[in-house]
Amino acid sequence: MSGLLYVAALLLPTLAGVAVWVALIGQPRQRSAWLTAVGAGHVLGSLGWGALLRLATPMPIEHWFAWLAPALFVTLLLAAALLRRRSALPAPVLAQPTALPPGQRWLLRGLWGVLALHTLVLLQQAWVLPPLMWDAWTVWLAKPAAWFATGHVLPSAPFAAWWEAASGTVLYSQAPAYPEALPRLLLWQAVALGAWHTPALALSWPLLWLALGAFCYGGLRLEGLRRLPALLACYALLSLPLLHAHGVFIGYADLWLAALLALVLFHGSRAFRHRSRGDAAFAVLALALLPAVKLEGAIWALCAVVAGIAALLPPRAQRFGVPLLGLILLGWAWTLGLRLPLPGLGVVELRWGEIIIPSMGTLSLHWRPVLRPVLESLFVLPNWMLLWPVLLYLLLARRPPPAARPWLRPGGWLLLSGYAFLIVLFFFTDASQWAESLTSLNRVLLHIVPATVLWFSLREAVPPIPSGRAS
Amino acid sequence: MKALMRFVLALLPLGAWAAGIAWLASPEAAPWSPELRLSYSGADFQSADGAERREGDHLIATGMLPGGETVLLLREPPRELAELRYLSFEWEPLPPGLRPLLLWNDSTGTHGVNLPWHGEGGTVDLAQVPGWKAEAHSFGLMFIPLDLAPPTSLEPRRIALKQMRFESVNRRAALDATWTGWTAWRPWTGRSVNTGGFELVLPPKVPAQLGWLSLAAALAIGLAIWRRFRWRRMALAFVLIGWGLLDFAELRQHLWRAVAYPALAESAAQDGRPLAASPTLHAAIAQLQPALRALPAETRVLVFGGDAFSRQYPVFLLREFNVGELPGLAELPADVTDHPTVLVLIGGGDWQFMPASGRLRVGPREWPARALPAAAPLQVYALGPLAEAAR
Repeated sequence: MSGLLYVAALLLPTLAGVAVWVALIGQPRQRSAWLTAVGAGHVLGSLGWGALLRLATPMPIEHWFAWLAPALFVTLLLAAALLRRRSALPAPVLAQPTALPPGQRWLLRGLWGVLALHTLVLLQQAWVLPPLMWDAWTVWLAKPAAWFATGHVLPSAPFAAWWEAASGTVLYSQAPAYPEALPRLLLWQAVALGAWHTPALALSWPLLWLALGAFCYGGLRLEGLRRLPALLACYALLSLPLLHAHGVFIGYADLWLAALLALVLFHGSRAFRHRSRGDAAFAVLALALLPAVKLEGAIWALCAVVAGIAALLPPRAQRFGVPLLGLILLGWAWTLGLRLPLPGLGVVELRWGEIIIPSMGTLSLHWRPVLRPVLESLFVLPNWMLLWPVLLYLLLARRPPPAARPWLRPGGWLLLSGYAFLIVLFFFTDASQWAESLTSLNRVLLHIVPATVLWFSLREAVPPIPSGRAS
Repeated sequence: MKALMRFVLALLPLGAWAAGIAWLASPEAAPWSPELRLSYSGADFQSADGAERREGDHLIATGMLPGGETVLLLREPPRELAELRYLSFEWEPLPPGLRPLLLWNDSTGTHGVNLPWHGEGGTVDLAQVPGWKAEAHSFGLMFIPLDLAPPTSLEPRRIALKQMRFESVNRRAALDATWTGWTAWRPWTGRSVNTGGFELVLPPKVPAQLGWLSLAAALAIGLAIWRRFRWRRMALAFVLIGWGLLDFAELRQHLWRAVAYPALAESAAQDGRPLAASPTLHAAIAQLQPALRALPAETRVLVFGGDAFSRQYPVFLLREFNVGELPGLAELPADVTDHPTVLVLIGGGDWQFMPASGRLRVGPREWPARALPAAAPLQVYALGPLAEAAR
């Protein structure tokens, strides 16, 4: 086993992600910009590399690291040389710096201390705990473990096809259609390590949790939030018990998807705020990766595309045209049926009273009485701290400052369509049983929570851009 | 002087909170102290495996039953429990990695329920214990390793039971039971990935979330009185304090796990195993693997039986082989004996191996088979050319 090569396997995709960030958005100069670049670069770089490794399927896996790591390293060196001349990112639009009162200084120190404690605890638990059930065993950990053991990236198939295939040519899987960016990334790390060492591979999860925190704090500072509100938002996000749980358990893709969706919302909002093509391109890259992580990613990508198109319309059209378009589509689906090709899910057909998804069958749509378990999960159980009451208060009782309104709309549309999807999923389909049993409800909700926290933080605390600063 | 008065006034919400919790947690018209109390010292217990000694009034148990559990039973269980609603227990801090269960026997059979505990013991409201009837023939405590540890880990162990007492309805015990419920340790389970943690079997009468948040409200109101906050700052203070208290409660759990699980992992490693989602299945699969490695590479391994958990975990652990999960007997391929196949059966089911004839019957079908060495709950049979080769 080689720890050094394993560290290189972790770092190289992250550096590639940072290079993409710098190439598209600009040279980071301030600490906040570096934190954003590293956080976003880790998420995009790791998952992007995992998706790209699909091209390496014909290559014997024992050669993956030996051949691909030097190539990636040289590419990064070239990129670094080219990017040295990349223009610097404009300094963040910060509110007039004022000395913090002692109380706030202590609060800041306390929050950093608590976050450090969370980090240590996460790292230790990820190292010690074994992979726990379901998704890890059946999909995201099972495939790379089998590939590593057999030495081949075998295709997956359900039971009957697996039995029919020549022995050793196909892998049995309960979920053969699930995307493989994350399994390939784990396989890449295991090959570098030279052994299947579960505790070492599990470290990717606390690192992702840290990257999400760095991205959240750095991004909010980059958009001009003061230290205290930015850190409070970051702490609120990272301390959520469910997010914490997913920072520990190896083999779950939910936090990866959540981080990617947060990237889409943040850089999408920046693209509209600063009229920045680089941010738009970065958001599109992150969006394109969503279906490569989990099947639900296709739905989130669809929501983001709808939100982006809606936000490009003139304000009046947004106010009236988008709801009208929604009604027309609903009417269309009711009378004629609506067919949507979604990556990973196939051609999804919407009809009145049912949704037909090729990989899942027909979902019958009618009201399911699961309000009580849903409310319990959101407001009573120790899953989300005070997140939902606080967000409800902010949504209903506070109007956003005028400076924040227009460019926040795309993010708002994304969240609106995302929550509408969740309401349909858990109140109108058989997925309601997962809400009742408190299983998938929280995990699917987790996908959209970091994006929600970022959007509300921007909405509440972002200062206006002085005229002439748009890049 | 005014500042002092404001400070004293600021403490009132805290007092109101304490009184409110006491009122909510307690049964109606309950006295502060119990009218009936039945106390037992550790010396009134005996260990089921006999490995025990007494130090003063304390019982020190050092052994375990073959399954890894230490059972301490009351020598003379109480005859009349109807009036005694609360149970308090006190022990020296347990070795990390053990969890306690309340154990009793009544006319309906033997019962074991997770006990909420923290530090050196706790209090439970027996009226909330599922299945509890005040007619126990025998009564005791059982200490078992956390779910992820092999049953025989944590050896040698030392459990020092100080005392246990039953009490009739009283406010102090009700408050103790509430506090125990709020602060009880929560081990990890697979369910934690769907919720922020493992739900306790015995929830306290006043839920922990409500308790911490009402405390935050009291503190925020107190702060508002003391520092003359307007309502908006008070609301902000409430959110910050509430979030901090809830996070404190969570971090406390994480810190406990940070101590308990590494110790458990170390014990398990001395046993030659890692922590596992199911130590029993993990051990059985580990024992099976060498036999499977000795078979031809084209062998297919079919896992069947048990529930989804006990099928999927072995499939995951056997990923190095060409393994699949048989969805049901109806899906058993007709040509199963045409290929080198190993059938891994879990638990009991509609199958039987007849050693005399060397045949395995599964549902309505029967084939020549060879039994491979396997530990419970697995039964493993080689079919097709593998069975023929043995003949």
